[in-house]
Amino acid sequence: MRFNTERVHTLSALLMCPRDSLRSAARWSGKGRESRKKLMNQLQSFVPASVMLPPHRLQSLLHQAIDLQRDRCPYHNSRPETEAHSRVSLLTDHVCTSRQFPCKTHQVLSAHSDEVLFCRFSHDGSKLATGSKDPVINIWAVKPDLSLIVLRTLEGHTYGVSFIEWSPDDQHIAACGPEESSELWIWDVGKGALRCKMSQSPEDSLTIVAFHSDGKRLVVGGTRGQFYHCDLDGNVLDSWEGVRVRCLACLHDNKSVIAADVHDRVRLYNFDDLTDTDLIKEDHPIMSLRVSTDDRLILMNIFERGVHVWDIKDRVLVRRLQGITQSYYVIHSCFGGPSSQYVASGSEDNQVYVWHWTRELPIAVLAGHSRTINCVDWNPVVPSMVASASDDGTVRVWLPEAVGGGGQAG
Amino acid sequence: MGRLFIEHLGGLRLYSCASCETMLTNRAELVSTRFTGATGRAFLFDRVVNLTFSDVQDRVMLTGRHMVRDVSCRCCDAKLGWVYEFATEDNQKYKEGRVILERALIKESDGFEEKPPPPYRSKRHRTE
Repeated sequence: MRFNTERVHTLSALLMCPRDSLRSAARWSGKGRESRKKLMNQLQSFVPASVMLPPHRLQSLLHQAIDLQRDRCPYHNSRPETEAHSRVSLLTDHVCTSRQFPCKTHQVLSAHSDEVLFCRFSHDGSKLATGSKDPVINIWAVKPDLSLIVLRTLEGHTYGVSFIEWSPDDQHIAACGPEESSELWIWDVGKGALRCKMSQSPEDSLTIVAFHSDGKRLVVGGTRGQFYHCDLDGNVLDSWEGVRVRCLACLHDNKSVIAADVHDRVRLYNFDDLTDTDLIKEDHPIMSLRVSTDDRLILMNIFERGVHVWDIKDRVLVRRLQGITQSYYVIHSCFGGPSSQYVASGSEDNQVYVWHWTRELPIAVLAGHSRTINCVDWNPVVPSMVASASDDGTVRVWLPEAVGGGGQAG
Repeated sequence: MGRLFIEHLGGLRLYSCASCETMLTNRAELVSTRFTGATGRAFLFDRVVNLTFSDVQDRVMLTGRHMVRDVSCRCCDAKLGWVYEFATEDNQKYKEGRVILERALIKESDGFEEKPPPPYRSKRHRTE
């Protein structure tokens, strides 16, 4: 008998065992309910479900129902971790209404005196940077009651501020002007002072910038062919020749740079080993680009063709989000929500459009601005807050209707 | 108005608006140089970007009756030339959809070799 000799040894040991310690040695609590229950649990995995009901079956069915309702909810905007299953009631189907979704203007920020071209929240969600044609950058602080006040005003830009990027540690912002601008401005947010102004040649056109995830290097470029890799003090470490850059983004691996060029191509550039790979080819001009926080999806505003969502890894167009008007101006969009499941974009019809990224039609259209909305950003830490920057000179902060208060800020 | 979206075709030899230097087209899109506009010599291009178009007008030209739209620079509104919408005569049909830019109103400059090279676009046949 060679089968399971170990078992044979254990059983023989038990045969030899003195009576008192037999039960503890065999780990058997004696004839009774306790040991029968334990035995049933052990047998349960071998018995088909039609004969004996699997353990906790009702509970797992109820959890599945809760998860399904959550997935189907179009306005669901809270983190799954903070929502225990036990706190959801199943008396009626769960569905968030748009009242709990950011859809009401909570505050109108009118510190700028000209068209506001750009807005971007810091990575920790505590500040908002807005850039305008006036040409000033305003840094706003998000207070605990979710209202915003001006923290700093950064002046000195010559052509207007059309793009701002926060460093990963939120200590610096890099700002660019429009096509005429040949300089990159790097500001220290804490001190409210200019750290450095990078300028290689007055013929340059630097319109787009992105930080590497280590926060020490950044890439900057423009459509006249400049594509520089430099450090925080404006020293150019590398220059990639032959690319007319429209949009830039850095992946979290600290070396891959995603760049869209004027020929509607999105390619991956690596300044460490100087390799480049093709990623995506669009058919129409790419105006702006963002990458989701998990590096999985790319969001692009395509001139006259809506907002496209591509999967980076599979290189496939996953969604074409429809509804916006964009046939004259550069419009920026963003991902939003606790798991980046929402997309929001500005539009030339003065409204903010919000989609769930799996559905083509918008789930919310926010009206209030009186002119083109150039840029929308979603607070990465406060999923109920959306900011939109418009040609009407204001930035609107959108919050759910349920949040009280509201007002103007100078 | 916000930041105007300005297209760019790339290329080795670029043509831009004389007033504001906005890129319009390149040497590869040139179809013919044997045209005349109000200011003198004019060129016919296949594809030109950053233009605004006027309403359609009926014009009788040396080569026959055509429906054209005047084109101006999208950024500074300077007049640049016209685009052929419709040609009444068959042997003029090759002009349809193509843009005339007057030489005095545009500026020529050098581009650079792009890597990788811009994707090839096949065009309708060219006739000089």
